[in-house]
Amino acid sequence: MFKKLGVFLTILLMLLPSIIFAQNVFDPVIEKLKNLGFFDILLFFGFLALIFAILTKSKILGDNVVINGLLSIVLSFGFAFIFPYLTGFNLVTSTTKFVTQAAVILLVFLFGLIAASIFYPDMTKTLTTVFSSPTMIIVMVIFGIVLFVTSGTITVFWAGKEPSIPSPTTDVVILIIALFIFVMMLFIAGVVGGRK
Amino acid sequence: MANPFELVILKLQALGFYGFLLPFILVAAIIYGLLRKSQLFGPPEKNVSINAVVALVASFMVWASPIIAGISIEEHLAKFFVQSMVATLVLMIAILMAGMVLPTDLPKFIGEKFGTKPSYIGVFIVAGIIIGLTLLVTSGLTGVFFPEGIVISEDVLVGVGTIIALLIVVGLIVVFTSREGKK
Repeated sequence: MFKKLGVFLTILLMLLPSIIFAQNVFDPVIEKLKNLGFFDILLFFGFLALIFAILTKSKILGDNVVINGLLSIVLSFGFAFIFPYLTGFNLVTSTTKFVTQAAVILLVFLFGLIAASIFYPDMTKTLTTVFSSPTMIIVMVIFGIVLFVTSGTITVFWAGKEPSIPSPTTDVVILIIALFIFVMMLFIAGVVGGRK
Repeated sequence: MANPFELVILKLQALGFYGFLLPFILVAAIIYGLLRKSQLFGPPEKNVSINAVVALVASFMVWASPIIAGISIEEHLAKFFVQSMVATLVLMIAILMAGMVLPTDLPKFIGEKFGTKPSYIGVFIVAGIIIGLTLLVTSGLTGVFFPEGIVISEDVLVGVGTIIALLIVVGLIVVFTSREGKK
């Protein structure tokens, strides 16, 4: 109890000067962390967790934790540190854009579901009964690809080389997104309307 | 004398509470919740650490996005939430007004009338997503996708308008054909 209180008071004491003078504490911290390469390390841990989870779940190399762990460490090290060093591609910036855009899209979907749930008390149950078709997975995969393009992460494929394809104009991107939303709605309508 | 709430809000804004901390918490909660629900990496009780690491990495990226990617969502996020709250309020008032003429126990009535018809569920979900997308534009959150700003030509506006019109027509066709099929 006293230990927790002590930790809380220490944090409060550390934050006190910035609270009194109302300075943005996050700006300099992020800047410092960026210069220290903290986000590269963060990316390394992200890749590590993802690769390890995929290897463990798929059991491609069996159940051995050491083999899965070793392979995930090597691969994530390559992705997070060696690849940017060799190609000069800033993986942190594009991943940040990708994740932020994905978070905004998640928010929009969440709002859509919350608005629909006003009419349906048990929305989760309703959704699982209606959207049992694998078409939704295809729609979401296409969504991921669209985010991959809009965030600029797609340039990872020609990292280190001169871009041969000019980047699309805003008009074209908007048209592609609008077309995609249209197709997605069509899919949802088809999946739901096609059910007996 | 200044309103105490105003003072606190301004102080918190100056500290970066809305621009950094709240998006961090929000994204961490959403991603961790979705990872637990989807069970993408297996049962949640066995993969707490993996789910937590993925959620934390994603939320740290969003936390740093104003500095690293130059995307600030502080103002837009506030607008989005206020506007979505108003939209939800409008829906709630509509249901309340419908409650004046409809029988008592409205949730049961709605469940009976719409619950078994997948076409209605689809219409409600599509309508919800369309409202969400409209809020995305009106709140300015589209700036996340186009940080340099959007300059839309008239041709594109006409194209997008046509797509929306097509969308409405297709939705209506689906609703009416499914209704005819039931008869």
